[in-house]
Amino acid sequence: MEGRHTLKVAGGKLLKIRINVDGEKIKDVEINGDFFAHPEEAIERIEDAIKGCGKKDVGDRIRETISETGAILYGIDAESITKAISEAWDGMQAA
Amino acid sequence: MECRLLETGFQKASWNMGVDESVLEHVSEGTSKPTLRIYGWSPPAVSIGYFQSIQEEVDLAACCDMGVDVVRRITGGGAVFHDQELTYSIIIPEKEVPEDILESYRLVCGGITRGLDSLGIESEFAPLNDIVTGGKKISGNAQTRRKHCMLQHGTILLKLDVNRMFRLLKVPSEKMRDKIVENVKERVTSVKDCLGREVSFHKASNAVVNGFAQAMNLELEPGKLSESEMKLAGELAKTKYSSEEWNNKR
Repeated sequence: MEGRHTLKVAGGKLLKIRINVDGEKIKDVEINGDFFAHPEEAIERIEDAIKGCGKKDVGDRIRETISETGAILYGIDAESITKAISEAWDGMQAA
Repeated sequence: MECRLLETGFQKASWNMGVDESVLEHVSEGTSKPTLRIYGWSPPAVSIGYFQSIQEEVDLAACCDMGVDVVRRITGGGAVFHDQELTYSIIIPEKEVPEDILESYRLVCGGITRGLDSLGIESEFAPLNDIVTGGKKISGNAQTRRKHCMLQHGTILLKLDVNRMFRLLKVPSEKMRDKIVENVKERVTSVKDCLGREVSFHKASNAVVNGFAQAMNLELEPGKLSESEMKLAGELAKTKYSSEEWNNKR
């Protein structure tokens, strides 16, 4: 099942989520938008880290990964990413 | 600080991005000096930020029909239509700029505000990455830090055609297109709109180069790409910035 959601975040930036869920777990996810992340690879690390997560584990895993990578994010944060994924999950339709 | 000034003219998108990355590699390994580069885009191009979805942001068919290139940058931020504008990049060892990313944007953007000031346009830095005049955006910028180097690149709008821009960029729905176009016209401006007359690329370039020199205390010396830089730029243009794998990454 695929879900998408666009969230307007700080500074007028956009956070666009696309998730694929298999059963109750995330199969894959894209965290897209016009935000900034340093290092940029932190976003890919987050996307990898939350594969296999259930909905309630996503927020913690995102926060852990941001901490592990030392990522500095502009326009988005753990809370907004988690919220956008949750909205995409809730709005899922059969892919 | 000694800094090379590179003016690479109007080139295609894949080459422009290849040069930025090649210069970053060479500055990082110490074989090139810190570099300020001024360039343009021919043909016109849309560049998207590192994290943007190409399909969601760009009307690829319209770009093809209109002969507009499309390329993904290594920097974040939004989609940019490179047409009647001046683009700069500054590549410098990370130790020479503030560690704080916002403060480094402020420092570099100070070069642009000084340059615009010399053209008669009063402007200010609008965090994180914009320069505004009269509340309207006239310059957008994007930065990455890799291999102990900072690369910041950005544009100064010389003329603006919002209708043409939005023939190339996607909008949430066709119903919203007119509203979005009007909204952008209210929020974005150009050198021509500010001054009521056109300023040539050459004149704008001189202004911005002098602005950077003052703001960042640069001793600028005109230079060229080395053979090694040219070679790597060409490889990157061909294998990365022209590739579907890179451009369609998201």
